[in-house]
Amino acid sequence: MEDQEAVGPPVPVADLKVQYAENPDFKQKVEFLVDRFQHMRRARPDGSCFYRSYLFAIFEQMVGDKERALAFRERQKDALEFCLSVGYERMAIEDFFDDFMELLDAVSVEGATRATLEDLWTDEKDRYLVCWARVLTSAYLKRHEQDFACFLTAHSSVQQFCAQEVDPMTTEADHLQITALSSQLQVPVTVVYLDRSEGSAAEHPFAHDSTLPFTPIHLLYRPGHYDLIYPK
Amino acid sequence: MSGERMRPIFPQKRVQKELESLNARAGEDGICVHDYPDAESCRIQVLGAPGTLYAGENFMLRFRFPARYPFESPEVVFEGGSPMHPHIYSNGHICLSILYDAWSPALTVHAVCMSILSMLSSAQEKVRPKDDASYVARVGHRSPKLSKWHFDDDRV
Repeated sequence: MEDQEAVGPPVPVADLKVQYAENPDFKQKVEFLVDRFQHMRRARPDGSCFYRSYLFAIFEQMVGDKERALAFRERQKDALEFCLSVGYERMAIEDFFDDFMELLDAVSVEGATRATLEDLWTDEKDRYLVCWARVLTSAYLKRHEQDFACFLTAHSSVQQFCAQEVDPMTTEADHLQITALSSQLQVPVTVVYLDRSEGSAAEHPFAHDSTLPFTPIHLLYRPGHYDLIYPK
Repeated sequence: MSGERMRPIFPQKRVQKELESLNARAGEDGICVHDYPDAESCRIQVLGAPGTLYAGENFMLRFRFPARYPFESPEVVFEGGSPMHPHIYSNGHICLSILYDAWSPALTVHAVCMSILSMLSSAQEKVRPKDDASYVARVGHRSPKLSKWHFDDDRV
């Protein structure tokens, strides 16, 4: 699985037409995607694809953009304390937070380009960032326990949900994780669903009421997997 | 310098930080670094909590840290006599999800010890897992990380 880059280079969305050529169930939806979206970046399918795609796109929007980076940094500056307040040990998470903030500074400086971000996004960096995203997600869920507890189906508590479905590095993100992380980061994201259901691809917006100066990120969801997708 | 073992320098920065912090608060929560059997391992003594079936009993946990720790879980087993417990096998293997599938890099040696102590504390009776004999005969002393675990209830 590590053969595939954590976040791949941009490729045309039209490539999906080839991939689904033999699959009539998806034909209509793929055409809709090709009409609306220009290119996509494939994320490594190891369970962390939502976290890395979303973070990558956030950093991508801050490339060489001081204003955005400043607004985002202001929102995140107390994030480590926030996570400690729900019970994480400082020693266990501070390196992840530091890496996250260092990358923020490195990509937002004048002259940084997408290539800067791609180069900095090594496998090691990817692990640190994904881990930080998971910690943030858990911390938000735990802090807003009352809002989330009623949505649990297979878990007895938010604490247990986080220990089993958020913190472990191979667990996939679903509605609750996306809601929590996007609420914490305050960067709008739309998940576009490509599945066998009728009609055009369904879209679900998260954190679209954010006041941070970001444009909505789009993630293409196919059962069990997320990739980044960019509107025309 | 008497017979005190030299504290090894672990290549993983995180291991080093964690063990230093454990040493700094030695004995707190009934958790204490005991020694370093080799360059990748550390033995930690844990003390059964007061008011539980294991009150006052000392046990030894051996942690072995893989090169990719904390992104890969440590291998954790009881050494030199494991507690009689429905989720602890007589070869020292522990059926606890955070040591395997549910490991997270945000967990620590301290957090693992606390989970194990909490697992001991909630035991109702001192018994071995039902499949102890067959499991131990099958896996012997190979790494517990190679076993296929089923987690019914982490709390007991």
